[in-house]
Amino acid sequence: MPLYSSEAIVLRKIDYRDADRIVTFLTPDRGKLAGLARGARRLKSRFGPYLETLTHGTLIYYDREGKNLIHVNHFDILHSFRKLREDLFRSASGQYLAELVLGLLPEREAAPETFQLLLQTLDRLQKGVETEPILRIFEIRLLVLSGFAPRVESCVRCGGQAAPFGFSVEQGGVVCRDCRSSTVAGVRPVSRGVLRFWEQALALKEERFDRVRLEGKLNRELRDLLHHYYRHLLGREIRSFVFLERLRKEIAGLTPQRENGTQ
Amino acid sequence: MEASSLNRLIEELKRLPGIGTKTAQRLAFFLMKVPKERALGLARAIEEVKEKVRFCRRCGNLSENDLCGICSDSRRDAALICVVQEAMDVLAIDRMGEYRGVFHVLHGALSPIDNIGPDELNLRPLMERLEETEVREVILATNPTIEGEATAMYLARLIHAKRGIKVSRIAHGIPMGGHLEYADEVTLSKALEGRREIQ
Repeated sequence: MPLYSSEAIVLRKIDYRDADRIVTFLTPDRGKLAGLARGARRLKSRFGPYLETLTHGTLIYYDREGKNLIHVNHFDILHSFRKLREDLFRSASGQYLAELVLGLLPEREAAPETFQLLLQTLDRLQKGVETEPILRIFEIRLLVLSGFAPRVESCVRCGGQAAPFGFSVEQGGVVCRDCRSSTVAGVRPVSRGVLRFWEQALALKEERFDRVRLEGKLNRELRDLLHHYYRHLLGREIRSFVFLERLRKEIAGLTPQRENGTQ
Repeated sequence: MEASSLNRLIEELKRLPGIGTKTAQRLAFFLMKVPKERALGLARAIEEVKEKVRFCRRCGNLSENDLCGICSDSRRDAALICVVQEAMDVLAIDRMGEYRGVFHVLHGALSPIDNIGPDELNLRPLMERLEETEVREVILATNPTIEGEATAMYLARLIHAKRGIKVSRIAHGIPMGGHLEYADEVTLSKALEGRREIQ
């Protein structure tokens, strides 16, 4: 039974039997991997507190041919993202990112860029930079990396540029003014600002991410549009998004500061 | 005919947590060998538990009555509430014999990814208790996992927002009898953070 070693981020853990856990990891070389961690819930487990959601570490595992689950042998911590876990909104944001990755990525397909994107985004969330632009950039880039990016440069039907544009999840992108009338229902209006931010999010160098600002109204429009699109792709509601929305409204309140993404 | 009833028993036992085929077979053969009264005693005990045990109206703990033994005990300090994830945690804390307050069982922890949001937890009765009774302190004793921490933070904000009750979190750190050299860095940093002065 061959033994492998890889960097990994814990995306999800499910209790299994008395003391075991089934853990889903994101690895750069083999993408999403689910594995059995025996005894992981015991107080004196060799995994300690490492197999917690959003922990980044070195995973050592056995992979038996014909088996869906890998056998987790060891997991050494590289980053626990402790500060992220100590802030409710940022912790929920991290879990939201994990849910998107879980929903969009296939199992056992290399995903080095998605791995880096998630790792860097978690790091930024932990550092306390503005949350909302970071989440929007992640959502847009994940769509491109997973091959589900909608067409936003020009109309999906005629390739035209006639504004104002609409967005159709069924058509998979923007629809120009001329095609909107003949397109089936469900086209949402989309502003130029949203399309500009979209382009910027893809073109931006990573070291400049922290400086991105996103005005409240534009953020709300983009957030709703992306949520609508992700919900369509996953074929279900994104549960951690609903929780984040609830947190925004119920606990933090919709203050202008929070809407700008500041914690 | 006999074999099929035995197989049924083995299949039922296999559904219990931590019981595999071999253990289920061993237990089934054991039950076959013991006197009939003893085996039926087990069956009656299971039946009785399923019929009588329910959740305490006030705290959500397991109880045979409307109120559990802890909630109906007048010697308990009702102004001190310890919030735990599961009813088994009540047993663990109460076993040590030093805690004289009351409990509140959430029946889970926030985990949106698993579809467990605030509405799925036993939260509303807790907030009602805080409104209706004089509470001095709420101890948040959810597990030190990302879900448990999120639940504790969520609850702390809810309680702080409503009224001026002291909210505390159980300490995290090195277990008694443990060695520092074997402790992981997350636990160690928590232990250092939660250090206290020795008088």
